[in-house]
Amino acid sequence: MRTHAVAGAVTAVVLAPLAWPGYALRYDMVFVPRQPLNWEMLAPADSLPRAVPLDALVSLANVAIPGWLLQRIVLVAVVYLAALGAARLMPAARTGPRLVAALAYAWTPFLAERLLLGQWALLLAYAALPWLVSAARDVRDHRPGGLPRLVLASALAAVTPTGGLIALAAVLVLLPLRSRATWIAFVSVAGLNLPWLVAALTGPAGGVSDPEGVPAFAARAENWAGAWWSLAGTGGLWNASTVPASRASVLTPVVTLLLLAIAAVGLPLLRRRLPGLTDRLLILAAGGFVLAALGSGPGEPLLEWVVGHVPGGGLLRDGQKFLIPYALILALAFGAGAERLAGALARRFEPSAGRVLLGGLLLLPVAVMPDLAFGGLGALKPVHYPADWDAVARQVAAAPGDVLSLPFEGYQSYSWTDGVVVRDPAPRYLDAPVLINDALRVGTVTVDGESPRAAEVQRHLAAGRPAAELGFRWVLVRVGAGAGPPAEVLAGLRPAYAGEYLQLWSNSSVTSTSPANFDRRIFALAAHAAFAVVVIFYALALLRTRRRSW
Amino acid sequence: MAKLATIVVALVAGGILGAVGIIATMGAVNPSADRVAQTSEIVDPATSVYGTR
Repeated sequence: MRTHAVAGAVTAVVLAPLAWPGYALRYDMVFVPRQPLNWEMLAPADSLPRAVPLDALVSLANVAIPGWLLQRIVLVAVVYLAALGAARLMPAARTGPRLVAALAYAWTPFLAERLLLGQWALLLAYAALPWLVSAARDVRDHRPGGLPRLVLASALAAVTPTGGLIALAAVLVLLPLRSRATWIAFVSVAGLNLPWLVAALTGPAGGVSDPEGVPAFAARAENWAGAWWSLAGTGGLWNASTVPASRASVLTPVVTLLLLAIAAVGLPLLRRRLPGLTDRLLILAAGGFVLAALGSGPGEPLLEWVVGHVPGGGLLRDGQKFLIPYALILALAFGAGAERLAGALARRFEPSAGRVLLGGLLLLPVAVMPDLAFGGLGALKPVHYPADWDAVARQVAAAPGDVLSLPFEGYQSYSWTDGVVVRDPAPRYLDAPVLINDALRVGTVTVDGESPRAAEVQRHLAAGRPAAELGFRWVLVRVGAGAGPPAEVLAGLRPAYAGEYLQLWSNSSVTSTSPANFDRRIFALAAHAAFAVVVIFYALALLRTRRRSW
Repeated sequence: MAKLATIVVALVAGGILGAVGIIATMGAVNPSADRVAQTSEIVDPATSVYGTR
């Protein structure tokens, strides 16, 4: 019960600003009142499927739940499940070490930095991993219900390609290779990865990415100790704008050393209590750490070659995201180390001395990074969409057709987001195919996107030629987001809506959407159906076991 | 003796946590010099940057 209370308290402290109404919009985190369920959500026509099957799941959930509530549910689930999962996985008879592991996993630089970057779907994988490992332990021990729990935890992780790959790797590493259950689990989790795989293989976007993305998205030194030491403390995200300022503290590397030392003390205990599984989790964590460190060391040229030449290699460019297994083993070993040290102290002096130490170590993650509290000291403060968005969405829905969103930048800050950078909400707000620029600007560097159509449009607009020639039914202009498009770009278009924040221009010479690729749609639908079948099958199988609740 | 040990442990643990907390909070409210320098290097304060290193 105390683990639930602590998980709840951590969740409340981290997500406190979400008590205010509105939408917390930050970078990749874009929730809208009602995300349409259309083919773009199943298999985006012009970009790599980075949010597949995530978008379809959000659209489906949006049928029953409004966007503002859905956002709160998933963010609460992330923090709460991460804390509770780590506490339950921690092999300790007493509650104290479990709570230490819970806080060490739920109050990490990784969670803070990815949350402030808005990558909540990746954090679902983070929250799912302790449950996945716990289920893997049950599968190894032939306990009933282990396999369904393993696959369902993997499903939570597999809402994005990265999470799906981490789940697949976890299944392969954590389970014994020569086992029927392993291969059943492998095939099932591979099935969960089908939606994004099919969308990527059948899409027009090139499979390879711009190698310039490797140095741009490589792990970053957050303080004097360098990038690799930042990774050792589960930080090191590439974007300085989304890193809690306390990570730059001169003391942070010293506390990382303390954390690692206590984890080293606890590792032998953890290996005794989770025999076999700890070693395998260590291997998984080591693999993830190598991927995370590769871009910021001598391995950078190799990674650039992989990203630039191997289809799908772009998944590796922001390698810090693969730290998830490392963060988990670190939290568990830290919890075990805290238990050992507290036990030694209690035996030498008295029980209360051990409890004091345990309490101190429980609060250490909070003390070293206090600015995760209250949504990164207010960074998650919700805002409201201007009424223009609803007005434009109605007009587009009345005459559906392809939409070009200008300025041709995928990410921008707006006055109505209080200056916070956010991904263009148009593809999720409007019930139509919306083309946005998938090139990413990191400082002064522009990392090219993968969409040939976006690249063509970029060249066309850069030449100052009219957008009307590009064949879009609508041109959306986001006012106030930098300089507006020049008059010659809007030549030949008729104004359809003019608000304070949005303008909609109509191209009456275009009356239909771009031709649909029906084969691709059937494949995408089949892949999503496979995902759903796997989830439903194992949910029913879990209900049948009735042995143990989640 | 035992009570004294508890007090000593509490003082050490509390001292470490307090020091860490104070320095981390100072870091949180007062960004380090290299961050300020990095921000001031951006010539065009464009609104369309995904992030800065």
